[in-house]
Amino acid sequence: MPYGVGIIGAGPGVSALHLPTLARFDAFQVVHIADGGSGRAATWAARVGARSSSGTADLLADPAVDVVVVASPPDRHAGDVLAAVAAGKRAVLCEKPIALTVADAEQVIDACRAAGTALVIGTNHLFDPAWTRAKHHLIAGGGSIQSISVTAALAPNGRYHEAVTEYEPAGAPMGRPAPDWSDAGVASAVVRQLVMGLLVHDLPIVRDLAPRLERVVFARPVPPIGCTVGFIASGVLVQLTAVMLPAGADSLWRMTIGTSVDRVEVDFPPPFVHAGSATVRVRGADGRETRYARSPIDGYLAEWQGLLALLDGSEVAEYDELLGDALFAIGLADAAGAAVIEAM
Amino acid sequence: MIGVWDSTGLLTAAVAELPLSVGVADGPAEAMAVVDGAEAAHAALAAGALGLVLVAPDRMREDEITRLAAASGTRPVIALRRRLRAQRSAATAAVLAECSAPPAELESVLRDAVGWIRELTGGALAVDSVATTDAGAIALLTTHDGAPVTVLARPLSGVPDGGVIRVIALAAERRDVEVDEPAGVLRVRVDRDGESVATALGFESPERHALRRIATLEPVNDLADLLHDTGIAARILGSAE
Repeated sequence: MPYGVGIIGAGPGVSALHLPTLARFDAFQVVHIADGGSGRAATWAARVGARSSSGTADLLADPAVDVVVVASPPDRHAGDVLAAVAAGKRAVLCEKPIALTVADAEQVIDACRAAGTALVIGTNHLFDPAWTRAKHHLIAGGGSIQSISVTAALAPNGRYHEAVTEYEPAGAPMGRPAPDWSDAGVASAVVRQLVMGLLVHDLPIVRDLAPRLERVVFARPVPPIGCTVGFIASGVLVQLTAVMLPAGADSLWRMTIGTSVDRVEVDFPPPFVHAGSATVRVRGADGRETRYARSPIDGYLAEWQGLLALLDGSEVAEYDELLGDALFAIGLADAAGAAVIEAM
Repeated sequence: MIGVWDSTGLLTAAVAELPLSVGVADGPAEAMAVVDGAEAAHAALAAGALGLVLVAPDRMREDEITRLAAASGTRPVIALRRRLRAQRSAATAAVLAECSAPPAELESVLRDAVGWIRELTGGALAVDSVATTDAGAIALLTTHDGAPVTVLARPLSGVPDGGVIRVIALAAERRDVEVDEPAGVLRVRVDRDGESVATALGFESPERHALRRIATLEPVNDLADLLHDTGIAARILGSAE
């Protein structure tokens, strides 16, 4: 019997990401989708023969739901996870971030730990098999980590949605208007949101390599929508830049790790698509290059494989690591937001 | 035909590759003088050189460049920067740059990384924030039109001579520069809607290119650019006076 999956949230990402991803697993079956009142849940649910509802109560009361996907707006993630735990659900896959405040993050992790609820956060880059390979290389290589650069130059999501789903006419998601960057409060808040919503993809990896955030050197908005943040963590120099561009080149999502002996470059695939793992290229001190073979498994699939491993008991939930990742992201987002105000 | 007096011997082949445009001169007077270092440059100017080709400008200090700029006046001075190529500039949303090199070479490599950023973005840069650790330096620059540029510079011990530079200019048309001296790589990749192409950098040597610029009599701004790049690099590494 497959595990029944209930999805809280019915944004475009559910049609483009969660439904196509779960369709690749025999072990999971979507049985219930809930929206926040938009009515979209019924449309998505009809495609997969699932029930639909508005709000979270019906979904959480549905005995066929074993696993809850929290894909609601970020400010509701913590509350939705807590509700799923309180409803006795076996597992939760929560889109990042798990919470926007330290107190909420601690409450969520405490609740999951106490109830034994399996918890996976949708940081797909962390699960990408290519990252696992790159990490093994870094450990085996013996060089000390000196720098980390993350570049996320993102083409419009619609380009990648078209590769994995279809929308009814006029049903395609709208782009976001550019914020008023001249307003320090707006700029600070949006940079904080971008750290928590976009750069957060890679922060668990950054924390893996450089766990102690020392100080933010700079943080700035990048029009039309993006930000750049430079900081020092555990003595490692870190620069992160993410920008959503209105058109043009395909997305580039690259992490470069500089060590005392080599440079490791990880190119992740664009969001939403299932195009295999990232690519890993290592440039040795003597100029020699090594490319690791790619895996057909991408980070999205690996997330669900990870959740399955928790459900069947072959892995255990790393609650402390999940909390550490959440606190690292919140700390960086708060410091980056403050740095934006200071610079203006 | 323009006479070339090469006190370094480094441009002999380049002179041979431009047989219609330049020829060998017996001395610096009334010739373009190829020189290494500030002292040789001033001597050539004093001897009546029409202009200069500096073969190792990355080794010159900021004050030496300033004095040479004053001394050369309107006479052209071409800086032969092997790690750098002229580029068409374009508006960018942001730029990320990284470079690494043996400690003694880091500042000169960083100058050329700054040069690439200036070429790609089309104007002067300003230093906004800098921090340094044992691992190197991290900096935020801004372009002439206000776009942010982040820079990492790392000294690496025990590695072969030569620098590594990586610059990515983010825009609808993205440009990705990779310079890797130990590996013998210098390439620029351009990504735009629906295609990804490697820019043809040609097979002309930097030395011949420098001499050809003399022959075409194009306006030369190399010393001002070198001074700009040197000043920015010095501020990032904390060696500015």
